[in-house]
Amino acid sequence: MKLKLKYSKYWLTLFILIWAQRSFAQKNVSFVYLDSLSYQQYLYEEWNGLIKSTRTAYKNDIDYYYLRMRTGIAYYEKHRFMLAEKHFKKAEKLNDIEKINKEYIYYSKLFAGKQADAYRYYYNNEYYLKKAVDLKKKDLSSFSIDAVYFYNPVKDPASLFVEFNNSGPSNGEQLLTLNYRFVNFKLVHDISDNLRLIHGGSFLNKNSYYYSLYDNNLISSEITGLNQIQYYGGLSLTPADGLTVTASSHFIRYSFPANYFGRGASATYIPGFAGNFSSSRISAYKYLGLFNLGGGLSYSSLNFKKQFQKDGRLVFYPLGNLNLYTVSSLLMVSEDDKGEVQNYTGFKQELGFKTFGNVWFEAKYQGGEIKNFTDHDGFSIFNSNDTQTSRYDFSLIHAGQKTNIRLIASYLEYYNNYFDLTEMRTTDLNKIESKALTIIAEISWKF
Amino acid sequence: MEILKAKKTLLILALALVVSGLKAQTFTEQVKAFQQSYILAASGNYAEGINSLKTVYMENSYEINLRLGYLSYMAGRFTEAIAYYSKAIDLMPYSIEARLGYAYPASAIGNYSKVLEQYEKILEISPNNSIVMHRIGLIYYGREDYMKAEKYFEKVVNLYPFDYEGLTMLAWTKLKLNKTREAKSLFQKALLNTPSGSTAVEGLELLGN
Repeated sequence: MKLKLKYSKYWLTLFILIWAQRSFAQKNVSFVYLDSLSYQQYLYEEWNGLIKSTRTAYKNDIDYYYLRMRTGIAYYEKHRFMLAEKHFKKAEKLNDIEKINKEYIYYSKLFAGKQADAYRYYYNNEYYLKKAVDLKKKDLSSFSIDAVYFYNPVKDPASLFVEFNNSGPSNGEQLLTLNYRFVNFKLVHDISDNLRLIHGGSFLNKNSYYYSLYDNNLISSEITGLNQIQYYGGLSLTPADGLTVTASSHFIRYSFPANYFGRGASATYIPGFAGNFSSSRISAYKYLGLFNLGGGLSYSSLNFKKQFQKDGRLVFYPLGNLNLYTVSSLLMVSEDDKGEVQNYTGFKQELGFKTFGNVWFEAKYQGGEIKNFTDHDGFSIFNSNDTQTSRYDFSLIHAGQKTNIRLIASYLEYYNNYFDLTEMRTTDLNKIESKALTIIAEISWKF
Repeated sequence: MEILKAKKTLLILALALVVSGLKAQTFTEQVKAFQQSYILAASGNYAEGINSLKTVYMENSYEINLRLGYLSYMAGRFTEAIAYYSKAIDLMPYSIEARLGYAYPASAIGNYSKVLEQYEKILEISPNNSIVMHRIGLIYYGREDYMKAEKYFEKVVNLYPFDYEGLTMLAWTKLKLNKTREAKSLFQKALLNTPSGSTAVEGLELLGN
């Protein structure tokens, strides 16, 4: 009896499915049927059904303004803003003087996180949007501060260094970062409808363990007061729909303090020094449906070497909004150390998703071998001879109406080598592998 | 050899007669189909009217495509109507009636960019077409783009300075653009044409007259 019932259920389901498909197939070319069906679905807010029926219409070359608007609104109501924008833009091609359509495009861009793109669209359609959207050019559109604390929990740093005697360079040094504090601020100004100025500065204070062998004098001691001041500025242009081109430059002033090691007559004096490094970059990123694709080129002079960086990034928004995204990046740095060129390659994979309320979670893994590189579209410089091998970042982000707060915990694995002071270049000697933790807190205000 | 030549000539003649007979038959069928479509459309049976014309459908016939465009529009099959009107336009690119016809279904489904495209094409063919200028003006007025609407209504009123529709629409547009003195004068002219014209009276009342 049970088996019979099971089979009759199976046949019934199959029959309904075939019947539904047949009847839909029969009607799928009828404009009148699809128009009235989609309108009814729109009125009753059956968004999934509406998306399905309009898809059938488009497959059968039934394509018109109101239908595109219905599909766009269905996706918009489901918060799939990138897909909504696609349909609203198609509707705009069919009827480009409709205010409601332009309003939807503006908000779809804004809620999909394409802020610069949304502003550009607003100013290109100001006549239609000025009544509905209260947007004004801001001299200062955002301000952010972030504080970073880096900590290497190594217990006995002195034991990590070895003496080379006659086997290594006579004069050399090695620095092991023990901890650093870093404060950064950033300002964004709207210069015109599609051009923004982004600039800021940072201050870094570092404590390291210093090991030096100089004319047979050995120094092995903790040093404090390594400072770095940085100013950076960039222009971000949105020349076309979904396209952003950014050019940025960094100027870094570092200083290494003068130190006496030892006491009395046997004390060794290491004079301090200061100098400048710089980095410049140009990049372009374009939104293509559910993707954002682009890359950049950087040229830097960090730590007495020259770096040429090529990188590419692909962001994927599977749901067509910011609720879920993946970021895949590849970095290639070619470092010229006094004529000797070394190539480093690193990759990053990131996953971000919305958790509850306005809170997002991000997890990021960075692998490969990379040092002296630029990150965050040129607005962060990793100015260090420490070669990063693995990095895990975990972030919590709260996106509010006027403020964004971000907390990041990061675990880093890296190594460094002995630096030959006679030839002024890094050697392969005394590789020290380290593990470190970083805590980052960032707050930004939107005006 | 001569016999062969004569045979050939006869064969060609016979074939020509058959073809012209077929043509004549098709034309008669066409007339019948068109007549049938008028009768059916008069009783509101547009779908049957379409079916009757489809029996004699020829892709290269401007008249059939134009008529099918109209019948499809009346039957509410707007995308089909657009397809027929497009074919008619392709066959007769200078046809204003086909472009005006196209505008109906395109408007019905909201494809105003296409409507404006056709209207602009008509203005290229016939630069002083007042119907088209008035309609373009109405589209912009409806979208509250009064600057553009003014441009078109102005032209209409220059061509037909004593036309009630043109005068009132230009007056309302001027009113929306806060050109009150000009609006008042235009409403007054409209009232000279139609002394009881409600929209002109309403406009003047709004202006405090």
